[in-house]
Amino acid sequence: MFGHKFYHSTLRKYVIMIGNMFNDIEVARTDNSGNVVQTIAVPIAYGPKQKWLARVTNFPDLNDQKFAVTLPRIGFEMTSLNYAPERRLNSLQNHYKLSATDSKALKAMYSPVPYDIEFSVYILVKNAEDGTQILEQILPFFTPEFMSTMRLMPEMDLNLDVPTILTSVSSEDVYDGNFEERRALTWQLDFTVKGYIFPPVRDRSGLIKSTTINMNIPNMEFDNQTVTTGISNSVISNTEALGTVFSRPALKADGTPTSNASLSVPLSQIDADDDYGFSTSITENI
Amino acid sequence: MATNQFFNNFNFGQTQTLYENLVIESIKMYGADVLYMPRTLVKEDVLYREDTLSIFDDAIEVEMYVKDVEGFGGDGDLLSRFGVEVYDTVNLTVSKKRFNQARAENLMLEVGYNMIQEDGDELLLESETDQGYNFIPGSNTTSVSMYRPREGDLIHFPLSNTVFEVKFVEDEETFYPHGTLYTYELRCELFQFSSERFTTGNTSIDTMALNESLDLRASEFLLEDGNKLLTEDGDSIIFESASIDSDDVQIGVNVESIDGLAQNDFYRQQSISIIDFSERNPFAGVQDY
Repeated sequence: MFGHKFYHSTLRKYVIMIGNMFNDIEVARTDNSGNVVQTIAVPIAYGPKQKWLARVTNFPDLNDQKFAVTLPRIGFEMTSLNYAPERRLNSLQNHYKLSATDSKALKAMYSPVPYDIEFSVYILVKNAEDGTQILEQILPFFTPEFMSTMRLMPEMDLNLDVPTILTSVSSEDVYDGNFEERRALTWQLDFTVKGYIFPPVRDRSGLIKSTTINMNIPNMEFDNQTVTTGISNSVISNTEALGTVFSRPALKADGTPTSNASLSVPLSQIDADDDYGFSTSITENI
Repeated sequence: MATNQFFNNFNFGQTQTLYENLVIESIKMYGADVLYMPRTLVKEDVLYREDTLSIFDDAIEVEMYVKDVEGFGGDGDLLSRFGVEVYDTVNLTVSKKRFNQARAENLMLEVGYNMIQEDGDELLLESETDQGYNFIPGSNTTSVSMYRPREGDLIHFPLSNTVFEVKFVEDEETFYPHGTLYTYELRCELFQFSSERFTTGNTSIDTMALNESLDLRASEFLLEDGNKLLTEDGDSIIFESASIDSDDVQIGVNVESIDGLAQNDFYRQQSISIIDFSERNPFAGVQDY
């Protein structure tokens, strides 16, 4: 039933958006005089990964791990998706875009579906001061949301402002216990990305270039009398029509618009972005 | 006195010396030479009780006995939300006497004992006073700032070429044989590296730490006199290999070349086509406010 072959990589883009927010964080360490003597770049990586790949990447020759881990570092992961009914859009609304390669073709897409995408960002530090430095570089920018303008659907030229909301900040500092247990100082920041998931994009190959409107008077009650015309309120065939209105675009060969169909080039030579006029003719069959 | 006064089990110096010599000899025969790196506190934070700028500026070779015979203990290799972490542990035993000898840089005989002067004072290296150790005339010892292995110090274990941190020093592991203690047991875990500076003088170790360091300033150009080479703006100049310049974004150090699992630059490259950067990335640096 849902077997449309499409994939917009939208969730992947949200993951990259979150990763890009925190990929330039640095920790400065000062000496007793206040001079900065170390500037530590903080590595960030998406937490979930294939174990075998992590193993062979980190230990290509089994002799590369000199230390337990390099700190500070940031990991993050997408934890859940929740439908956001308060942001629901009219599902029958279509987004259209003229094809870039065929001016006679349209691309159409129904409204995207709103979802709240939950992310958790984890910060692992060795020193409490490192952790507070990283936090203070992040927190001021979330009030509680930070807006990113994202090119979510380049196929449809659709850029959206996507809010990322900081929902909670918590810390865990395992410092007690015996001396052989290592201290683990982590911060966790939870974010909600107010995103959208997009339906398939369909090609609308034919532009409607002309309209034919058949008109008749159906059977009706008028002034307490029944007027019978023999036409029910349904589809009117050409032979039943009392009148027909025919409309079409009209364009002269020199590219100027006209309302005279006889002066126009054929419909097949008129494109959607031409500067055309409209020709309307009414035929009476009475 | 409640115990039998005719049996002296705990206060017989010659027996204790013999026992200690046997312990030292055993460690010398079955132990491994490790490099002991004491931690130098640079900026102790009295609020959080931590030192973020520790330096390891010495590496002393001393023999230690490896108590683990079936491999490293601990949690081993694990994958966490932060990547791959390795938490091997090892328990090492070092003779108290040999540790003090190695640490105090006394002149030693070939067999590892201190040379004693006629007055009983130990002979010290000429450079000792420059190392922060004070020779006390007339005494039979030296006053050193550190008289025992300390928690937080590091040990380079040569067999695996890894660096362990001393988590706990147990001095009563062997419980008063002949009335005294002869060894320290060092319970160690693989070191969590946070770009601490290693200036031990041991090129292998110093280079190893430098290669893992994420400190941008570790890649600064220095003049012959040790001062930094600065631009007109006062900024320091870093090695080209340590910097990247993509999309007019300069972060200074290529994290991914140092940390195999880091994705900092990947996100930057990918975001160019995804995020409209007419609104600047606020985390790129202070100057981008």
